[in-house]
Amino acid sequence: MTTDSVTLTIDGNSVTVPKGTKVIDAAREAGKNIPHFCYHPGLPVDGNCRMCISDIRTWNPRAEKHMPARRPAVACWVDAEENMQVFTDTPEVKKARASVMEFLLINHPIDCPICDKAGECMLQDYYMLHDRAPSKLREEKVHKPRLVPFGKRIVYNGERCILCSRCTRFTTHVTKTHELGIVNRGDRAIVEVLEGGDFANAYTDNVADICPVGALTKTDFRFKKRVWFLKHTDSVCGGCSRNCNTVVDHDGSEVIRIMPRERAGVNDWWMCNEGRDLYKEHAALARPAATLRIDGLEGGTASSITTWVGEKLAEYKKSDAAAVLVSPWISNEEAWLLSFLLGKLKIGHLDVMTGRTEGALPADDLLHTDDPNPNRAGAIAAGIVPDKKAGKGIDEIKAAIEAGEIEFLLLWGPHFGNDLDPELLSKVATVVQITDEHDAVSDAAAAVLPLRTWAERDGTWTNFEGHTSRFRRSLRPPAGALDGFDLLMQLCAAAGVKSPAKSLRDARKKLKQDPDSDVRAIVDGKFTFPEQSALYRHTSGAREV
Amino acid sequence: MSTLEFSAAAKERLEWLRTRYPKEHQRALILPVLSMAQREFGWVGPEVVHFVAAQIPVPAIQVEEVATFYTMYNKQPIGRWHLQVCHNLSCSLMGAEIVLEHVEKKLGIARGETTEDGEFTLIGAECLGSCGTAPMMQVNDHYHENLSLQDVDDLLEKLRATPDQEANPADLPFGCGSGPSRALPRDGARLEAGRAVHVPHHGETPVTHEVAERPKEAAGQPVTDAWTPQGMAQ
Repeated sequence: MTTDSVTLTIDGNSVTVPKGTKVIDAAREAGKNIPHFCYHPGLPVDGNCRMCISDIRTWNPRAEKHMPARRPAVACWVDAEENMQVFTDTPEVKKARASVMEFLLINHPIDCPICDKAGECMLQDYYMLHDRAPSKLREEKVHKPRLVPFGKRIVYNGERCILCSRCTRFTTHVTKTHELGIVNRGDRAIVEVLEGGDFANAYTDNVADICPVGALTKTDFRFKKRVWFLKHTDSVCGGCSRNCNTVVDHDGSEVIRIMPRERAGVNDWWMCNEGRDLYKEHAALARPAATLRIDGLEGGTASSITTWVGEKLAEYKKSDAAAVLVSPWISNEEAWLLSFLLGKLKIGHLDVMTGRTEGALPADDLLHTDDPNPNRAGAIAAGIVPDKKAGKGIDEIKAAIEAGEIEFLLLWGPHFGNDLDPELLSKVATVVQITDEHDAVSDAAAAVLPLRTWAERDGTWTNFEGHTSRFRRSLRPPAGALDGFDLLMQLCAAAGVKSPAKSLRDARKKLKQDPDSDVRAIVDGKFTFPEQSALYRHTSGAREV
Repeated sequence: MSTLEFSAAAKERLEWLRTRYPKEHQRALILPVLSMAQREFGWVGPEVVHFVAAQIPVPAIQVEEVATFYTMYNKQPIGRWHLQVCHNLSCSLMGAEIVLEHVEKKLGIARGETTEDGEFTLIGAECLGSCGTAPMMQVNDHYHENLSLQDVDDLLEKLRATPDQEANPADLPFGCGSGPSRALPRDGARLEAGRAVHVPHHGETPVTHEVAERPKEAAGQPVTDAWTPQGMAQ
């Protein structure tokens, strides 16, 4: 044992934690969830709700025994000490918790049937676990303001509020924008936005997530769906190169909301408003159809067009007249297989595009980065870079198109409009577009293959700091939309290149064993941009890793 | 933009107050500065909240939280005379409700209201610590105790006739409250012949410590607050 750690017992189970750890965190470490409202691992301790009240006994070295606690203490406030004994569910503790619940529910309106939080409400859950007693209150409950808009995205209901101060601590300590405060006193206390002020920072929706009750609700989600009808799929936000880990709440065909998922070192517990709104962009997406516009070969199925593209690629083996441009929305596995295929075909003019710029937000200290694309780092690490000897980068490819030297251009993924305009593309004989978004080029390209979006396929992205996150398919893809990885497997087959992986899962395994350290870094989470890379400019706001 | 500004004396006191708190705890200035602002501007409205926040400086919402928590900050404009009739237990036993109703009837206003001419604001206050001389009423910074209804009538007449300058004297010392309690040392220690005796808890050694002597009251001069800069300079 070092002096920096302490060992204590939680309900008889021994656990060793660093010095300064709160008892509630130590209990979590020991696999024991102490009920709580105001405690949040991402916020400073406040200790106001008293729900985590526990029997905490300290060791008295002189008497050589544990001192019986004079009264239960709150586990979120007390530091874990050497040889401490914590009991989290003795009859006394349970009784104290039931009393806390009764107190918190005195003025609560119990309007669960019309409350959007019902089903994921801590007050509701803990009532069932710890109280289950009818109200003793005969007096009229205290009435407070109920439909107070906090900016455009949040609505406050003062009667449901238990004044845990999570939201005010969020604006004070996380965003440091200081919009919310608890005003007045006693049973008149409410959360308030200062008169004349606005609640409009980029992270306001988080207060509704961390609200343990239904006091703060999102205008975007109010009365849209009961939470128990939602399906939850782990996903990743592609809104910027932060790659916030998310949960996509959907009903199989439509995304209802996007919630942040805890991921230490990436987004911790938070997520920005813009990222949450990305599903609207996704729903409004114009989807392309599989098309082939070659004389004598019009029509065709997605499969036959894929074969045609693969064969065409093979025709340009070792040729200087083919180029491939990849969107930074490609997944690591796809990027790895595509770079393998092009390596075998010796097509060296390959680069990552600028991608999306419309959604660019100023980088800040919390989450936003200035690259509104998810996977530039992963694509580069997986090998989407110009061939070392004769490969052309994006600027040279553009110059070559201008000069009419490029006959075959493969565009993978959406958002290339910032690099290539249709006029420039008209100088290329064969443009193949593989994308999830129909645009001006889709109307003119020789071949178009529809791709599944981030919400419709599996994969991983690597953020600008080298952390890799996995997103999973949450929605049913529209008919005909192809999985990126499957499509690449078909391209390999059509081009006569043996794919190094049998499936996506196999690819993930192979990534780990790849001899190239950059590629392995995708899996290890250690990839960092080469400082002098031309592509580094997209991440000028990158923080120190 | 706020057009408010502190008087020279208030500015001086603010600078002195700053030295009283550690750099990282300047937030503690909210209470005294709000109290100064109330004395300067009469009441604590949104504009004053922003002004006080800018003086310290702290986020305005923190000032709002403090200002709304304490009842002694006036969140509404008040009349020239602020009548606070105690209606806590002792005063109620001695007829505080009768006093309150009498004042209400006489001024034609309810509790929490101000007369149309802006002379009086009436509120029912909780215990003002004058239980031995109940019923009582605090008028601005002065206690009027052992009230009879006749006393109340006389007092209201007298107040009406009092010129502005005396209602809110410009040289009144800053600080909450008034009367002898102002010069008492902190920590609830008892004042005994110039020495504060800390009342020890069980098992603690009794501690005594010197207390700064209260400045002598010069004839015709208002009592100087013991905690003003001048007081410290001595």
